[in-house]
Amino acid sequence: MQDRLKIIFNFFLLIAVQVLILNNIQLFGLINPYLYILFIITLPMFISPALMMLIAFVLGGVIDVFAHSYGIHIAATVLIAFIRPYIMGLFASREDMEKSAPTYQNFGVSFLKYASLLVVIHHFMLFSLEAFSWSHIGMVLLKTVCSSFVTILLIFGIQSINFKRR
Amino acid sequence: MSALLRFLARFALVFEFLFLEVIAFVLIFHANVFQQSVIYKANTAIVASVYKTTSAWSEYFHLGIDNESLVEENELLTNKLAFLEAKLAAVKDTSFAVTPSYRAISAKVVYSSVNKIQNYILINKGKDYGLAPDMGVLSDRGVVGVVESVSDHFSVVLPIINTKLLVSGKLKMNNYLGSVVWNGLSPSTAQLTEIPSHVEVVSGDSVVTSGYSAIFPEGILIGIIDDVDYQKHETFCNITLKLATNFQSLHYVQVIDVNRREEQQQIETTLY
Repeated sequence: MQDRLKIIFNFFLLIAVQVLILNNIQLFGLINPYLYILFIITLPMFISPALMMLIAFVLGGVIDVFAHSYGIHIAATVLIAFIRPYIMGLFASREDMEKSAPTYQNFGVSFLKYASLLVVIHHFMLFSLEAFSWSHIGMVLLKTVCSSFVTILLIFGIQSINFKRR
Repeated sequence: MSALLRFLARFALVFEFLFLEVIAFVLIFHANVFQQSVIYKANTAIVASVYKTTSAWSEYFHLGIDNESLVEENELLTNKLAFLEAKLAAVKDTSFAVTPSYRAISAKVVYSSVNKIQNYILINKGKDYGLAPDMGVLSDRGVVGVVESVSDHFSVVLPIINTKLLVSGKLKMNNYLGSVVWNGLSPSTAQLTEIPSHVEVVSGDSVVTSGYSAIFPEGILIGIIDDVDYQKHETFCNITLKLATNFQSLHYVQVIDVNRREEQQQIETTLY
């Protein structure tokens, strides 16, 4: 029960941080970190893939509403929820997969690889849909690289703080 | 039948994934229709009230800058007033019934983005103050954009820094007409297109609104020409202009309601 409450609390906390702080960050027109996907990345294992995609749909929808974009966050977030088990299979060992949740504490270095790949896929999908034409592809790639870098740094920062506290 | 069910169960996740993605893409493709829908308007109101609260806090942090720009504007307006009063005194004998050609409604920005390719601005006045789609929006320095949709108390503005918007502008020096568009890169520059190569364009010249559409009055500053690129064998030259409005620190705007706007726009649609 306490686990579930904590998940719900994280859901609203990440939305608030994204909408009220990170959406206002615009460095060089290239860096928009989207930290909210940390929620999908670290969702505990007991949540079924089917439910995870529905959660991703709702999460993306809320972010979309606040960013005045239509469906692009939904599309990108549902995509990473769908591929999460496959990406996890790439990096995590069988023992890791039996742990309660994919976090730095449980996974170690393979968490960093797993989280980074998901972030890059999400950001690329998001920025391509936002541009919605191939003529901006250079810009999309540049934004993906720069923003993913910052999002990944933030995720590592948050995870290492959690790690130390325990 | 049972084979079919087994097949479905096996691919249930893939189906769920595709179903959710289809919904997302329907939203993306119908963005314009969606914006006019009732859901969107209700949405705008909720989101706007959240942003209104947060912007009430953050307001205090840029009071200084806002003050400065208001003082500047005040000075400009006082000068204009003095000039007009002098002019008025000169023509007072011949009594014309003078009606102003537009009405300005000031509004506060509650949300704006500059880092996207499709940027939007949300302002805190809507139908309650008589705002309607296709009204022009100005800042104290120049053109901001055009009202795209309105709810009861809020409006969504399409700024120049949105690749969807095209504003007709002219060179102040020789009145050549072109279109101001944005290439999605820097929020402080835009491009002036459709100016033929034979026209002499000087960097430092102003680009102002043409006044041909019923959106903006004539002669409002859009930007200053920064760079001109003439290319051989090209019909048009590439002009980069520095936008007059600073979209990164935009807190107050004025919405312009041009007289007889609807009538003019109705006639314009019959022309195309």
